[in-house]
Amino acid sequence: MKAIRVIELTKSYGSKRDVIAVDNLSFEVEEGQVFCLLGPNGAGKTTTIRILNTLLKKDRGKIYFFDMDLDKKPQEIKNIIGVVQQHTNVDSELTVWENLLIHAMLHRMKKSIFEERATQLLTAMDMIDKKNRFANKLSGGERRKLTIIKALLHNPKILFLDEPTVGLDTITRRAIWDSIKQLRSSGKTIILTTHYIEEAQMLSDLVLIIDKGKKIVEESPYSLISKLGKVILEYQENSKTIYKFFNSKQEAKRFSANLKDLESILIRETNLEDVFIAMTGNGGEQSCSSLEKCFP
Amino acid sequence: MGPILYLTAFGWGLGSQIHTSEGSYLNFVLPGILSLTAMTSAFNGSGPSITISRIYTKTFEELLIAPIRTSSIAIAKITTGLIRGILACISLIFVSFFYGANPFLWNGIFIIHLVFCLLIFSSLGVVAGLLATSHETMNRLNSFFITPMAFLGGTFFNTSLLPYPISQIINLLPITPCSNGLRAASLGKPQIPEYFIAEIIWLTFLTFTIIWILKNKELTTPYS
Repeated sequence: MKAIRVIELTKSYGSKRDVIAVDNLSFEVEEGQVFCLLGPNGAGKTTTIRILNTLLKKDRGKIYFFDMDLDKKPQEIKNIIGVVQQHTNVDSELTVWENLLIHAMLHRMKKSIFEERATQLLTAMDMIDKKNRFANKLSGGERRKLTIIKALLHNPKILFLDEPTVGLDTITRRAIWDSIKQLRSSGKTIILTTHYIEEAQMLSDLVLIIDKGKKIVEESPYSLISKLGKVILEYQENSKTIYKFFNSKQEAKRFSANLKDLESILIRETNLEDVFIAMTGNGGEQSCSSLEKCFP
Repeated sequence: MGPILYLTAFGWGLGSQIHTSEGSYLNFVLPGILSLTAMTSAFNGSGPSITISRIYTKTFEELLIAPIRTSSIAIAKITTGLIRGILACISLIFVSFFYGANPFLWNGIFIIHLVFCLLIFSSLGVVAGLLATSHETMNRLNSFFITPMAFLGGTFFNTSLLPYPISQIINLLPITPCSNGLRAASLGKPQIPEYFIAEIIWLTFLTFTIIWILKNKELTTPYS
């Protein structure tokens, strides 16, 4: 079943509506899928997420959550979504438990269910010993975990994670990746935006690359890499790094045999970051802006 | 603290030297200081906290994402200002007895005017809080709108003493019917229905404005 259907979504800003943030964007997310929105800064990822979670108003287009129209049933949809914003919007003057209690009250949760679920989530996120600590005494990683727990508290079917690991150290980031993997295995639909391409490659079932508000490509990370070439050859030419994609190491080696500056040559496996740069490289030789242009 | 200082300066200090046609200046000025207190405490009880939660802590987004009605958010925010205003006004009335104020303040009409006054300025605070683009916007609103109203809106003197066009403009301000209505009630003078009508018009206008803003305006920044 389709958890989310976005049809020709358009959003512009400015007094003359001349800054187009999202341009005729359409995509679908299956239930239980981890769907990742990738794009450079200002591509329209956060704007798209914020329209989907009702914080921004769209100019045009239709959005459906499990066949419910967002324009007609916003309250019902708000009940089935959980949102982790890019910023950690916890109330610093309240304790961890009080922050969760307010969220539970806003979602009209019964006290017994709230207590059980909050305890369960705090334990799972290794935060149970901090439940009486004031939010302003938590570390950045702990505050981020608290926002994730808050978003999960009312047991939403769909979870929006807008750059959930931004600004976190490696250990905390990996702990949050583990949490996202657990959520995926529990069947939650997850919409993720991230700047960490490694994160997108590891966690997502499907990646939508957007740039300047427009859809560039929508594929699984593996499929994107396969289409571009599983092996990448990097070399220097006129002080510029050139990237060439090949289907095998042998092909790459044959090509590199004809190159002069052998010290700068690197042959390695293609990753999603290479795909991302190829798609959104903004005019460099490696930029192709769509798979069709990459492989004419 | 501010209203108590006004009470001391204008009621006790200056007031002991002045007698009005309605009796002591303290009894004349107290309803004005009370409406001033209601205005500032209700406005500042609702407005700045919304601005901070919208722009700085971003906790206001929690309310917007939660499955609650727009009208519930409006009622909750107005009630915040109302309660803070009630506490401030009760404190002031209590203190005013020590200054020798008229104990007949607590009549029903007086309380209705006070509640209207608190609701109007709490609602005004909500409107300002929802529309402000920064904390500085709120400060400017306080400097150029709230503070002038505090001095001109029938708080310390009768607005009919001002030149005709100016007095008419001042009568349109939301604090003027509150001050005049409270004063008439506390001094046992006949109520003029225009005071109530003006208060109801202001309150209705502000309530619909809040609901319109919550339904139609984008209250978050595009790229946060």
